[in-house]
Amino acid sequence: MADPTVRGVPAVTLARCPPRGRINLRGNCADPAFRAGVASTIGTEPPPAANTSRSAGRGVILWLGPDEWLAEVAPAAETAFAAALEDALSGLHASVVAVGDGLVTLSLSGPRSVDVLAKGMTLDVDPDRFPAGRCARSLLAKAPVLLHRPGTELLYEVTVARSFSHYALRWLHDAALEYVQTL
Amino acid sequence: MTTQPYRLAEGGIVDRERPLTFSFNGRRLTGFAGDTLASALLANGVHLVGRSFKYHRPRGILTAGTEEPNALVQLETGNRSTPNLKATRVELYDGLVATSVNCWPGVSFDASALIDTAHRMVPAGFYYKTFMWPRGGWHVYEKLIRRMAGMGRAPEGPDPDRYDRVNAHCEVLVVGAGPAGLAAARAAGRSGVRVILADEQPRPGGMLLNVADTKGEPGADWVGDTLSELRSMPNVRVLTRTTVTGYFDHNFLVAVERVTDHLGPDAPAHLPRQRLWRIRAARVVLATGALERPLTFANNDRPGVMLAAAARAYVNAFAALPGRRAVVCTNDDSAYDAALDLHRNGVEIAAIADLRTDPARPAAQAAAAGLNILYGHAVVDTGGRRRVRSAHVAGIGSDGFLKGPVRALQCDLVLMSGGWSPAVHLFSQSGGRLRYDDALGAFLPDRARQRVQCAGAVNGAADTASCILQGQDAGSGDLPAAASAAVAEAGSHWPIPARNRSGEFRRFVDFQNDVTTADIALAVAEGYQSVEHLKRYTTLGMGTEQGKTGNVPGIAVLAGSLGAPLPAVGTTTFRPPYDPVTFGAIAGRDVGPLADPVRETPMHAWHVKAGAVFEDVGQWKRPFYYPLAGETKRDAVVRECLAVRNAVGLMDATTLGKIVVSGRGAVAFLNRVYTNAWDDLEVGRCRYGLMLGEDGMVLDDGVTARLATNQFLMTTTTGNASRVLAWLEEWLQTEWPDLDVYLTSVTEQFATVALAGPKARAVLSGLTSDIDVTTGAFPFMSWRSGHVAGFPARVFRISYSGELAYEISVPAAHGLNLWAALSRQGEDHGITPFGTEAMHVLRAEKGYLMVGQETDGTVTPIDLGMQWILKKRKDYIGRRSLARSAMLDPMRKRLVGLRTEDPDLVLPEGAQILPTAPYGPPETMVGHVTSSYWSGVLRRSVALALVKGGRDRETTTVHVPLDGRTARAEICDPRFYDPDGARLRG
Amino acid sequence: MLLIACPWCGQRDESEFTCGGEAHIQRPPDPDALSDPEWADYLFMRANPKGRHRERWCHTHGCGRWFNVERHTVTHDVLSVYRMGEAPPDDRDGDPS
Repeated sequence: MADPTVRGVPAVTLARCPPRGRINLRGNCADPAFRAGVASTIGTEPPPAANTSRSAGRGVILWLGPDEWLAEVAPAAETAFAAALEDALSGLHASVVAVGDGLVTLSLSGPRSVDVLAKGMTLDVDPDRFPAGRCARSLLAKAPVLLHRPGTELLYEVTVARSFSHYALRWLHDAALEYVQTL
Repeated sequence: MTTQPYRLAEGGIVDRERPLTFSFNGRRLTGFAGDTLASALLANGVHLVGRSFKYHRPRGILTAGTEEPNALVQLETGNRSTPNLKATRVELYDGLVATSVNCWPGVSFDASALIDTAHRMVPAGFYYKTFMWPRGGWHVYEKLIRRMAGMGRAPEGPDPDRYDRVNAHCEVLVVGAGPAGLAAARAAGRSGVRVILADEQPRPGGMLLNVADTKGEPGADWVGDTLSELRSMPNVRVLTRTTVTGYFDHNFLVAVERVTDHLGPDAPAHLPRQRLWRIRAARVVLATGALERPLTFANNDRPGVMLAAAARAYVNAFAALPGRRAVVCTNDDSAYDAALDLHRNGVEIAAIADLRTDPARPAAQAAAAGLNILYGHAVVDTGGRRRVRSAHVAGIGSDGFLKGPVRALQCDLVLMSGGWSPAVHLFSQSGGRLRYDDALGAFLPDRARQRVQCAGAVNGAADTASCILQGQDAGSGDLPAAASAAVAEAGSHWPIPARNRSGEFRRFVDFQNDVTTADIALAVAEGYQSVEHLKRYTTLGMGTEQGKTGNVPGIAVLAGSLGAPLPAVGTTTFRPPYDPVTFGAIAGRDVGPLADPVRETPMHAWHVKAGAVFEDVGQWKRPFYYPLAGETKRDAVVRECLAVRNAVGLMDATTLGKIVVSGRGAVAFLNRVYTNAWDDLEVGRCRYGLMLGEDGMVLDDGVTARLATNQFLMTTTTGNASRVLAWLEEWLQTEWPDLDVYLTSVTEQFATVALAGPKARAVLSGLTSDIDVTTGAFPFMSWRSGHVAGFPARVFRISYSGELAYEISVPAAHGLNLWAALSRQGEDHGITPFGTEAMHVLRAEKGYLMVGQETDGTVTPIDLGMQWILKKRKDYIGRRSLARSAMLDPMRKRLVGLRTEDPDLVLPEGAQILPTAPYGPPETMVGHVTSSYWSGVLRRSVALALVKGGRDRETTTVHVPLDGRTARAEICDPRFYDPDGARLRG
Repeated sequence: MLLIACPWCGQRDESEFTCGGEAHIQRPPDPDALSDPEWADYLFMRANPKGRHRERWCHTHGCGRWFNVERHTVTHDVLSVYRMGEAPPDDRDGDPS
């Protein structure tokens, strides 16, 4: 491996993100009414392409599965968005469930963040292979995670179930140790 | 400073400005930075480094690499100690402490060496024969044999070092950084794809490091240039000290990088000692080189007998002379280069005995240097004990027997070269086929099964130029050029005849496991003719180095004994790992607190502060009980249970699985996965459900609430939460795609507190203003939403304790605050936190089933006396299985209560139940205890059991054998407390 | 460690998947119509071929979808993957049976 010290920038920064509002969305993306209902509420249609995210002014929608998405919104707005989505999608075969309290997002950034993630993930997280707007559910060590790269900078968001957050934090901290010596 | 009598004044990669002190078997010695332990020992004139595994014969350094069978050491002491490291691979650092393995009391005088003089008593397979009498005696012998045959010691305390594991992806993985590997990596790197180049040595270069530079041939300069180009490419990762140990399916390879082993105990603490690489490569280039083979002449194992190329490496790379006067025995040209390099550095070459009568490439240079070459000759025996003192050389006739006189030549070094075996291990692991090449006398890669190419010596290439050419082709993705002409004509002369035909000699094939040519002949005579049988019977190739040097000679001797051609005999299967891997590297950071995820509820901190003892339920930590000062577990559990029965208790129920079931098909779905009917459940109501496997066995249970017409909230047991969700998804996706149902897990979204006891209503009513908690407005088995302690909440009136109880769910972020508010509110009512053990007792007093305790995958609802929950007409998963005749057998084990005759006796769970007093084995067993507790409220023990015949046997006395005595108990109704359920409806 | 192409997510490591055994075993629409041996056959009996085998796998730690994998049980080559409800590739142009 290359020199662990990277001049000027911390090699790895690990942080716990502030709480987010989140809504688990299920529905049929081929149905224009479903797409329109989501777009009218969140500001963007759910991304149809696997493992991608879309952001709009009011939030970000991440692809979880062919009929499943996660919408991220401001925490205070979760209940309101959920209610609005329920309204907009009423009559359709769709499901809207608020899940913001159940998830915790950690962020990992810096030039060595890729190496830290690679220690726990079999996904190819090389910045070229996992570009901005890419998301994927996978495993980080033994914790199920949702990995997301929101932008072009070297920053990865690792979302885990709330009860796994201590484990994931501790694990990432330990994995990052060789690059930063102390965190 | 001690001198190093065998160190050359110049040359090599060692840094004479950086002397290092080390200890070997208690002796303080000095080497230089750049040395291996082996090269430093040789520079000090130390050859005797270990004892052999079986005969405890003195052994020296045979090789200069991973293939070393003899020079095994125990490195360092205490918990950092590592056994069985090869001295040829251990890099020297200041203060290194090493001891020989496999000898007691010391390497120079080994008590077990007496075995050597009695070696006829321990032939191949001796432990299968000798120690089988008397019957049972093996237990005694085994301990003695294990002590004598032990190979180093594993440390007993925890490993103080850190280990790492990392996943890597690349388009091209090149294994081996010799000329072929370097060329391959360079060609692949230039195309811009991601390349990983892994080599086990501290420095790339492979064999080029071990040879003296020759004009016009690529050498150290070429290595340096290539390496700097590779290091300048951001898409190329060069891993040194990294051994690729396994080649698995779909181009998945595992490698071990020794990150700080070469720094010893002073390595920086933040760095891992070793790193396990898990590499997924689109394409693999194996440039793993070749391994030199020993020759099988009598007493070929004395210290000072060494492979020719190894001696060459010690002289050229480490500037360490392995001796002063050498005899060379070879059937291969490469030994001449070794002889010349040694000769140039002042080693006297007494003779070169070449088994061939007309070598393909005449040894002109050697002749020109004035070396004494004896064609058609071989070393046929050696003298000396702790160090070779002489070599006996004789002519070999075309009939394979000795021809002419035997001459004894004084020497302190015997070099041997039996040709080269391409290191096909990884290729073979990848599923590739091998073929035997007669000209080369070696197994070569043939047909590949995965995306892998071989290049260089592993492919039979013999000179640097063709290695580089093949590497370039393979690195670019082209088929490698054909190998250059073969140089060796090995494959004959296995074994070399002995001068003394009386049989008092041994020719070793496998040095580490002490397998001789005679052992192979004996095994063949006893009928072990398949190479795989031979291997297991003689232990050929089963040592820590997996027969890297001895396998092909062994196979050749086997072929000779069978009179069969060598390719017909074939090889044993090559299996991972190529080189031993430490458990530390395999475990990585999954040790200690990171061994497994520890899942905590939002109220965890409160439980910790309250002094809770925790129970592991799956990965969750749940409070087991909350002991007060001086309380035993039983005291605490009784207190907690009585609080629930008499006042009010609260329990963290967050871990129960919670699944939102929504969609037009939700009711139909529940009807199929639960045994009971759901059509008539009103919004606002809850119902208990039992889930079966398709085999009719109880899978899980829980309460499901109707949130809206097409939306339900299902709960599962803690341990089964993810399993049940996966099981339901499987049915939805694979069998019922037409059913409009979505499942969403909300286990983590809500924190749930169970509030149980006659005062529960009083506590709850003080904390909510928008939920009417009166019985009429909020009856048993219903739910309401509103606010509790100011937090948005769903309150379920359900009970697992048999008392008036509520389960309150709030968004997880409020869990801790809700818990605290309930604790404060309940203070005047004597509210008591209770753990899972009290919950178990409370439900057992009621005779309620606990999945995983009363059920074990073989228990049906009928066995549990729960026919009432089975739909009569409509189908559900598991229904058909319940109708199978065996399921209706009245003599199946069924759930009962057990009342012990001695009320103070708490039966152990799992205890067997007999119909009569025991009369001696085999006993007739009719059941077993599934749950058993001390009940504080009943002031006696209660137990649940599965017993043949079930409650038809009520009032019958059964017998439970315990340690040294037998308890009597009466079969009874499992509902010990409040059988009519008046309390929970109140 | 296999590399399995999820029909939605593409190539992922085996550790993300769960194997659900032999594919294309349909639950009998009317279990009551089956004799005990017929029911046992549905419940317990599975093919164990040497060679091509159709299995269903779930991308458990990914998109959560079940799908079919045609795998060679000797070489572990993944010969094809196809979604639930889709016909196996060989059968698409008419059922060979």
